[in-house]
Amino acid sequence: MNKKEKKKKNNRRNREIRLFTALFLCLFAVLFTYLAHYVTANREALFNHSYNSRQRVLAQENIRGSIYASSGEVLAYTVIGQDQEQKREYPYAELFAHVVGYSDKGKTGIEALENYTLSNADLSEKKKLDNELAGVRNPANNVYTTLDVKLQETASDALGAFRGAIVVTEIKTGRILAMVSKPDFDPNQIAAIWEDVREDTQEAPLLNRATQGLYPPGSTFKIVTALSYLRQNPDTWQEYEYQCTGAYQNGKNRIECYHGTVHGRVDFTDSFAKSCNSSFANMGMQIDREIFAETLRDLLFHQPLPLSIAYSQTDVSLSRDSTDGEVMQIAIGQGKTQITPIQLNLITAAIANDGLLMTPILVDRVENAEGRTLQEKESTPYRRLLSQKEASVLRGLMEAVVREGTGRKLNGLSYTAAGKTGSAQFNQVREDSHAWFTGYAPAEDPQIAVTVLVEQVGSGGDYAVPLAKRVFDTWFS
Amino acid sequence: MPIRWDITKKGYPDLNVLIAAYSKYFITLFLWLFLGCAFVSLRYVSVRKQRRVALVQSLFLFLSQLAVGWTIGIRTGRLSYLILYAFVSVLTLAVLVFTVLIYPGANLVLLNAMCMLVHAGMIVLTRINPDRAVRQLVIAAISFFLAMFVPFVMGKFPMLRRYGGIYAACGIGALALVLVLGRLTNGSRLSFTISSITFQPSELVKITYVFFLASLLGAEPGFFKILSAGALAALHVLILVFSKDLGSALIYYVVAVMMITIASHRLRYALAGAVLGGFASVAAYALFPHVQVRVQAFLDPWSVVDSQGYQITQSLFALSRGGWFGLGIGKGTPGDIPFVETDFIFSALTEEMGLLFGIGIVLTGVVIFLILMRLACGIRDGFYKNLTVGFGVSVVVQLFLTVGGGTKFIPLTGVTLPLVSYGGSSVLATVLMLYVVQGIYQLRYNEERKLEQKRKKEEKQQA
Repeated sequence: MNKKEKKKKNNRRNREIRLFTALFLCLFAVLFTYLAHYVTANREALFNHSYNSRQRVLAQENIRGSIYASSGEVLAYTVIGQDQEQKREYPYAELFAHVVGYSDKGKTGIEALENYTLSNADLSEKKKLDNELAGVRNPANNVYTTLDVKLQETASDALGAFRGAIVVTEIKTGRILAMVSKPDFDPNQIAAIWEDVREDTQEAPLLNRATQGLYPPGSTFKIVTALSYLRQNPDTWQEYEYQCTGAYQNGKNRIECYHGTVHGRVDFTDSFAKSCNSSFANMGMQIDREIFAETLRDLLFHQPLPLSIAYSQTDVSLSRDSTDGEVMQIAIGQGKTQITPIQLNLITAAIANDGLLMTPILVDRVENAEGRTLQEKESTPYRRLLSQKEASVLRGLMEAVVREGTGRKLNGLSYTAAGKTGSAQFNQVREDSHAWFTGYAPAEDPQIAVTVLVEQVGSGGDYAVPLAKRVFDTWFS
Repeated sequence: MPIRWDITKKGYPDLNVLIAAYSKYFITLFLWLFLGCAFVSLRYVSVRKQRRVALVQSLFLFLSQLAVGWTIGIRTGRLSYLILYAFVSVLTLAVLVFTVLIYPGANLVLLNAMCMLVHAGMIVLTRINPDRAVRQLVIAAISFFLAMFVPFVMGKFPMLRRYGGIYAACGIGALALVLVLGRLTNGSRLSFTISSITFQPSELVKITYVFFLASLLGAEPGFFKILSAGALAALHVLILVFSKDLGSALIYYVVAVMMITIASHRLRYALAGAVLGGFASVAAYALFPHVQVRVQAFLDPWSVVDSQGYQITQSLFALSRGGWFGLGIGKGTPGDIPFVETDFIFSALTEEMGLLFGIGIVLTGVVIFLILMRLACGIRDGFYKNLTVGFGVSVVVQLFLTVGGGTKFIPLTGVTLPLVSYGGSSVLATVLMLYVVQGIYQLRYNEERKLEQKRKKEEKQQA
């Protein structure tokens, strides 16, 4: 018997051993892959878990990193007191209270979002060693945000003492430029005012209304209804006509125009520009509910948003079983429909960007204390919300709003704006409504999208549009 | 933890300072070079041919110990730690030298791998609990000392292969005794204490268990033999299940199924074993509340993070803290995990030494398994082949259950990492097992020498 045959026979004799050996090797290969993947993919989430002692250890070893605005202004930094206690300072006090957040008493905003980065010091081993020898703490990584101090200041001043929110994003990049929520608080004093602000459910100053506040969208929702109608009648929407008598009656259900205004004969564009409730209720009754529900899904209603800070998911319940009354209410953005300012802003930005939504970003880049860039956030498209053609029709409608409709206060400026107003009734008292405006400018080549919500002041055209104008003015000056 | 040796006076860059900062990279590098040698050596069948690679491998083992010892010394600034770690190296050297001198047939790669695992355990223990580290070192020394006699006894008493029934009786008896007398630890009857020394017989009975199976099965067993061996093995497993030591029960079960399959060359036994095991698992889940708790803690530990999920989530935190190269010795917080020295030593190791080191240590255990399987393939004698297979499977299953459990890959079973975890019975049992294997190497070596002498004699006569 030669050597080869002998080996072959030996192999056959040990078939089971080989099989089991291979089996265990595969098991361990899977185990190692799983382990490496689990640990690297969940590193930040595991770090941020309150049961992980690593946060407290690093807080002692390192000096928490700073947070910067896009032009280099410091929004948050840490000082070490004489007793070696770290104190977080926010030079702009209330101005960035919600979006930058606080890091005492739990963490919110960017302080929470970038907690891992702000806690860790990605320095060279040599630098760390030098610090250890010198007995000083390592400075942790710094975060550079996309926030624009000037826009934020304008937005905050514009809201003044009103409760509400303003969101400004750059359309082509998805960068969030400003995010204001009122009432606000001073994050420098968070420990001292904690009990007061936490228990104040009336004013709810800790709530970031821009991302977490759920409001009835009012007439701004007509963007969605118009899009649904457009999708159902892609070739005939221009032939739409309606005779407005100030109200729309369907059986027992009745929808009235704002302040009972009689709009007369309106076409598709007029209905939108003048925000005719009766016409949209009429439109809503004609739209196939499947198409309506699908449009809602496409515009991220009841869907997770591509946002990394805390937000509320919007809720609209529309199905085949919805009653006529419900559909009429939904069509004009009333009833149980709710939306957050940030989502309305994302929809607006997508329309202005030919239907393509860019992933919103708050953090531009992360640098270590020596100025080396560790991470750079690229602008990436998130998802197409609507087709280019649909976006172009909607842009035409939104331009008409400013030209001849409820947004005329933005007409005749050095730039051309476009948008949609809304006056959302939230209870039976007619005069009490939230003022909305969502829009973009310049209309020919959109740069920024601005969404304004002011709680309980009146109509969007009167109370929200002027605020948006101030933001646009600042941007274009 | 600050560097306490007065390095500031010595100026920078001082050797100690550099070691404190960079040793973790070197320790990982040494381990992977060590593993590289192990895999190269697996290509050789003959122990003599792999000697040279094995010696290089020993060098990496000592370099790793030197780096670890030095780092611990610098980090703690205490001489006692340095001395303790020097003892680890002395023990390693003694084990390697004496074993190879007394038994020239011994497999040095296998010895290296064993010492590497003990070394890895010592890193963590020195760090978490120095008293236990000293204890562990003493236990390891005693275990190796006792184990030195094993190959000798095997050579002197070849009739040991015949006492299968006695081994089974001893094993079942010891396990039953624990079930009756043992005190309750963590809901499972696992151990009993005689004059302050606590025994965990399920570890030591593993040896008699494999011996009994190897002896009864022999080579190519018939159906009746398999049936009787299977029944006696089932008795072991059932007692363990009643003792609520489900991790050990699982190891015993898999060992029996694989040994029977390999001895009989019938894959159908493995299939039947897998099916039966599946049913048994479902039954165990339905019957035992503590199995349900473990499974729930495995499926979603985050919802019970305060109670049943606490251990596993702390383990996951520790695993994630280290990254690829670890936080460095003394820089982590492995003490957060309950039972870290025994059930979760892998997580503690990974936290401070890094994922690459942790995986490397598990691979060292896998190398032991591969060496044993390789040896088993070359053995014709049924008894010795069965023994090697049994010990190999026992080690690898234990390895998988511990590491898989601690990483939330599988539900937690609470078994130790062989030779790494703290625990006298476990270390002693594993060392003895692997010295039985060294005994088999020595027997083979003796046989080869006899053949060679015979051939030389014949050549002389012909000439």
